[in-house]
This record gives sequence, structure tokens and C-alpha cells, in this order.
Amino acid sequence: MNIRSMLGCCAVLLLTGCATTPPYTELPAGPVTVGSVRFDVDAGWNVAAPKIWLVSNGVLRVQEGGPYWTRDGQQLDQIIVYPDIRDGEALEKKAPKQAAYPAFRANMLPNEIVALVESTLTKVFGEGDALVTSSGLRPQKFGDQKGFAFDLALSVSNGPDYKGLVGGFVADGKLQLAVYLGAVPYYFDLHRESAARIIASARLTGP
Amino acid sequence: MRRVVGICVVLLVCGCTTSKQVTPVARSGSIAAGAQILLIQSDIKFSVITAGGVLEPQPDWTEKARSNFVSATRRELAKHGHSLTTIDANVVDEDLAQYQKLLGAVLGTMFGYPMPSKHGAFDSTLGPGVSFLKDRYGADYALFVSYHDSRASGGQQAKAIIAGMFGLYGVNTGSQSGFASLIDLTTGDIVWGRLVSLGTGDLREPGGADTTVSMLFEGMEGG
Amino acid sequence: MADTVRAMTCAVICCAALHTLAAAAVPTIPKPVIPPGYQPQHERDERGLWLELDEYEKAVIASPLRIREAALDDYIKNLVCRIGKDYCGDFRVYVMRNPYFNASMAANGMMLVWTGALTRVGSEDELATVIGHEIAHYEMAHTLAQFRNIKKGMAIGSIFDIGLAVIGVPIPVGQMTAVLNVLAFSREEEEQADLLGAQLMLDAGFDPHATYRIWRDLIQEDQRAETKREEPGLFTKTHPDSAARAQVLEAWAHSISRPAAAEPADHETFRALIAANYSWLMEDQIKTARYGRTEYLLEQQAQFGMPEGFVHFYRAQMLMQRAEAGDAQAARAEYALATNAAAPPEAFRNYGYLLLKDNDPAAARVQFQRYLTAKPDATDRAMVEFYISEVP
Repeated sequence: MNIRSMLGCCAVLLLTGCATTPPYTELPAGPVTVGSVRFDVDAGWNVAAPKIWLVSNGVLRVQEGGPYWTRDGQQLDQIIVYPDIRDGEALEKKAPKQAAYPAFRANMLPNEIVALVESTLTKVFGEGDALVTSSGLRPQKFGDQKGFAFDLALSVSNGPDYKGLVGGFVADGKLQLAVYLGAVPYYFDLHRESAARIIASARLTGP
Repeated sequence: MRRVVGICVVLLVCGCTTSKQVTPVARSGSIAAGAQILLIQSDIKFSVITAGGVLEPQPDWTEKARSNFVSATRRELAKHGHSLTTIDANVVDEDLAQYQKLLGAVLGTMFGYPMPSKHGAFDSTLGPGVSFLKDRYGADYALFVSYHDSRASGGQQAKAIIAGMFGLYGVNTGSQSGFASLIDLTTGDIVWGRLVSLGTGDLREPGGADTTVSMLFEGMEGG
Repeated sequence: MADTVRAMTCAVICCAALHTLAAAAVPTIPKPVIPPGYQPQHERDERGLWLELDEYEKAVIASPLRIREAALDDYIKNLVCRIGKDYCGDFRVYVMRNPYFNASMAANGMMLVWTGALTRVGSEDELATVIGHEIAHYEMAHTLAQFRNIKKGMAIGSIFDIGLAVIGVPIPVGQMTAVLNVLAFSREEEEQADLLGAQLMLDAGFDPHATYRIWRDLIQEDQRAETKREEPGLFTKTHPDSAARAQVLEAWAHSISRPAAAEPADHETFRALIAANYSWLMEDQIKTARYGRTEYLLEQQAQFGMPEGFVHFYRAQMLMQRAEAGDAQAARAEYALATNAAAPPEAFRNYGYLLLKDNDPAAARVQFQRYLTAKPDATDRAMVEFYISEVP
């Protein structure tokens, strides 16, 4: 990696020290509701402010949507929550039209959702600057909801490799999805258990 | 290109100035005496800002800067009884490269916004997997360094670096900025780190290099 | 859209006119300006920039996005040498995994070709056109002049130092090519590169009529695109109008006395090479989620001779992604065709999923079993078996 791009990140984060709202706040352990889903979050996670500048794959960009949860910083580990994705919506709801983010369809089966995530993350990290592959698609229940889980591997131009773990389900025509990404070596493994637990704790909240 | 504009705009708008320096991160321990330290240079560069505002690396000065940096570091470490080893710049070590990429990500948080959940505790690490470097290079610690020194050419002020392309105007008279971080190769823990945005000294001369190095490594010994 | 059609119609008429006026419209082929093995005199004040270029090349070599597939790498290198001839030793070519169309040449002889070029050329001759064009820029020292222009106040992009708390501004390796392309050659230089490039590929034994076909294909692809994109693919933005360049090249092709070869010499090696890499090339294309372009490319690739079953498979995937009215039905037909020909085992699986959606579980189960038989180590076995057992 170009150490300079890391420093670009420093610049941003030094900069955010000037900001009035802190870019990250501690996420207390316990239940967290995101849209129609309730998660049980372990101690030790932080949540990004709704809109922050960050450097991702060497590129400075505005991050919105989410929420984004991290223990050691988003370049090292993060859980990205994509709540209440409706038919016709992209996972990244604020992406510009020209970027051609694919849309979720309410009748999608898990294999199509895998393709949706692969395409989305490739665009998030930069087309031509990221390779995203998936494996291990398997059923997973979230309370009464029949959902799915699968694994990811990412290589990027300006950063460490990442491994990922995705969990989600479709209920009432809406997709609820959580993506854990961790840097390789060390960080993916370090937080995998906690992240997997949090993702597995997802429950549809009452009507 | 828009993204490049972003960082300039953002930083200018926010009003962050060059005088902000990140203080050394809290120590998790001090260096054992007589340690063997592996210097991993990344991007030590000496550049000149031309009249047209372009930042041009200067190969001769860069070469001098690099060798002066190594000698100065050797001298500085010797004061505390440590020895220095270096890596041949032309050798590509893929395993090391993997950890350098990881380090970039680790330092991004370490020098940036500390994660509130840590409650001030400092546990930045590359993980114990990095210990292969101990045998491979015979070192107890790894010292990762980057430093850019840039000066206005011919004493002239550069008018605008980004003017034509981005419509952004500013005066750049040069800067000396860099970072250093020390990693315990047994645990992978980062025992010390420093980010400098307003450096001193001049790497082109041995004396100047001593100034730069002692500033950059200030606080590294800890204890 | 209507304007483009009108422009195309004019282009066609103009071309027809040009054809009859062939003798009067013969363009002159420019000549190389630097000799092979030319080592530019590094002016003292530009040596640093050469250093930057070298460092950038090191990053390209180390990039996970660089293709390291020996057969493909060797093929492209041989092609470059065949066209570059004595200049062969001046070049290093790197194939970068980017599904958009682009190729670039830097002043130090570093050439980048994006894999999107491989999915778009209908023949080796068309690829030769692209490579010839980049080599021509080099031979005419356009790249050198451009590089030197940088000193005149245009920032190179990779070494911004805004004198504040930042050391450099990062430009990702993949996007550096975009930066290099933004430092555009003049229109005249592009036209020159088209012509000299065409001559170079002709001298290497390629079909001159391929030179304009590729631009016409790109125009057609653009017309089929559903969302117009700004970047990447600055190739089209900084280069002269594709229709105009196709015109010039067609005039040239018709002006040369040697008859157009009915069939280019060795089509098969190139076709087989693309076919061998077709899966991951198209997986990348599918991930772009650009349905109009993908649809057009698949039509071209079918004509080019890519394995039928695979073409059906990727068309089905595109249709499932696009999900417009009637697409699911069309996808079902495509999967049926794919599974009856040589196709990736995933064709059985995806077909099975689609049949499930169509409330045909028995047929779905058949396809799922075919998938698991064809791919016993499938990592998604658990999901497939779940559906096999779960469904009535």
C-alpha cells in the first residue's frame, strides 16, 4: 500500500477533530434498533456519525447511510448495516445514478442477493480498484425469519485485503442485511466472533 | 479528480493549520536496551515546488535525504544502545508488503480519531503474525518511517499548486511532514508512533538530518 | 438519442461519400519522431517526475488488480512486440483488471490495458488497433511532450502537497490511469496516433478494416447504455469523437491498395485465449450492473465465437439483474439453453432457483442435483440442499 494514502486518511481524521460532532461515538452494549431490526451489540463497538468524510481504498469520500459499526476503525473492521431495503432500491441509497448500483427485488432468492452484494461492494470500493468474491452461501435463521449467510473476500488497490461475513433475510418485501468486513491478516479473525454474534442476533421488531 | 478536490476543499474550509501536531501516542512499554531495530523506509522524499506550483521530487536530494536519514537514525539509536538494520530497497518481500498495507490501515486510526470504546487505552497492533520478521531480518523491533520534505524553488513562492485544474488557490512555501512508528516484532504491538506535520531540520545535510531525526523520534525511547 | 441517430446517419452518408472520393481524401501517415531504445535526456528539473512514474509502475506491478495470468500476459506482450517491432524493448505492458474500456501509454514505455478492452474487441485486429494507437503516441513522443507539459503548471495528480497536515493525496492505482488520461493529448495528436497506429498494425499483418470497426462498436455500445457514465472510461471523453475517427480510418483503409483480407490470418489463438478467460471477464462485466452495455457486448461476443452456453448463462444473469417486465421469462429461456450446452455449473443452480420462483419445484430439484453433481465441492451446498429438502 502507498503509505501516502494512509496519511491521507490521517489528514481526514485530523480534520474531523475540527468537526463539531465527533465522527465516532461509543455504542453501548445491549439492544440497538436499526429500522425494522433489533441487534444485540457486544461491548467495544463504535458507531460512525450519520455523515462523515473518510478515506476508503485510498479515496476520500463522504460516507452516509449505514449505520457503520467498528471496533478498531473502519479501515480495519466494520459492520455495515443495510436496513429496510425496498423493492427497487439499491443497498447504497444515496449513490448517484451514473454509478449504476443494482437494485434489490423483493422476489430475490439468496443467490441473487449474493450477486447484489458483490456488485455493490465492488462499486463502493471502486470499480477497477477492488475484487470481490463470495462463497459458502448457507441458510441461517434469525428468530423466526428464514435467512441466509455467506462469506466474502476482497482485494483492493490501496489497502489490506479484507474478508467478510454477511447475514440477512427478506421480510415483508424488505431486505435486512448486515456485512462484516475485517482486514487480513489478524483483524478479521480478531473480531469475527463478536461480529458474527451481533449479526446472528438480528430480529425483526414487532409490527 | 473530484475526490482530490474534496480533500483540499475540506481541509481549507475546516481551517486546520500546519501547526497542529499529533502528540506521541500513549506508550504500552519501553524499548529493551540493546535492541536490534529494523528500519523500513517508505517514501522518504525530497521535493521542490516549482514556480509553476508542481511538486517535483528531486532524485539527487532524495538519495542524499535517504542515506542521511539512515545515518542519523543509526546515530540516534546508538545513543540508547540500539543497533539498526536496513532492508535492501530493491528486494520485494511480499509478506512484508502485506503487513505494510495493514500498517497503513492501523496508523490511519492511530493517528486519526481514537475509537471512543477504547476509553483512552492504546492497543494498536499488527498482530503476532508479524513475528516472522524477527528471524527473517534478525530484528526485535521494526521502525516504519515516511518523510516528505519540500521547499519552494529558488526562494520563490509557488503561486498555486492546483490552480488550473481545480480552481483552488493557495500559497505553498513547502513543508516537512512525516510519521514514524515502532513495532514490537514479538507481539506486533505498536509501542510508539508520531505524526509530524511541521517538521524541522533538513535531510540534505547530516547535521540537518540529525535535527529531523531527533524531532521525529522524540518520545520513542519512552520508559 | 435522436441526435445520435442523426449523427450516425450523417456519418454513414459521409462515409459513403468518402468512399467514392477515396483518392482525394487519403490522409498522410505521420512518422515516428524518436528511435527505438530512445532514452530521453532527463532535464534536471524533470527527473523527479520520472522517479514518480517509476514508483507508480512499481505500484502497478504490486497491485492485486494486475493480471498475472501467464498465457494472457505473454499473448499481449507478443502482440505489442509484433506491432512495435524494433521498439518492442521499450515497452512494459500490464493488463489491469478493470471491466471498462481503456488503454494508456506513459512516457517511460509503461502500457496499461484494461480487461474491458478484451471483452470489447471482436478480433485480434481490433485489439491491435488499440495497441498500435498507444505505441504510436510513444513513437511520436506525444507521451514525452505531455509529460513535459506537466512542468508548465499542470499538476500530475499523484503528488499533491497542499502544505497542510497531509503528506500527499492518494490516487488509487486503478484511477491513476484516469489521471494520466485526463492529461489529454491534443485532438491533432489523437488523429496522428490513429493513423500511425493503423499503419503499424497494417505493417504487422493485421486487417486495416478493423481500425474503424472498433470505434463503431464503441458508439453502438454507448447508444445501448442505459445510464450514461462520467467515469471511468475517460478514454471516450478525452479522445476525439468516435464517429469522426472511424470516418478517417475508413477512408485510409479504403485508400490503401492491398485488398482487405476476407478473413484475418490467425483468428483462433486469440479467440481461444478470450474464451479461456471468458468466465471471470464476464463476471466482472456482470458486476458493473450496466445492462444495456452487457446486452450489447453479449451479442458481439456471440458473433465473435464465445462458447454459446456461457453467453446464454451471462445473458440470463443480466436479465435477472435487470428484472424488467418479461426479463424473468427471457432469463428462464436463456438458462434452459445454457444448461443444454457447455456452461458453468452455476447455470444449473441459477436455473433451479428460477424454476423455484416459477413454482416448478420438481424441475428445480433436477437442476439443483445436476449442479451438485457437476460441482461436488460447491461452497453453497448447504443452501442448495436446503432448497432441495425444503421444497415440496
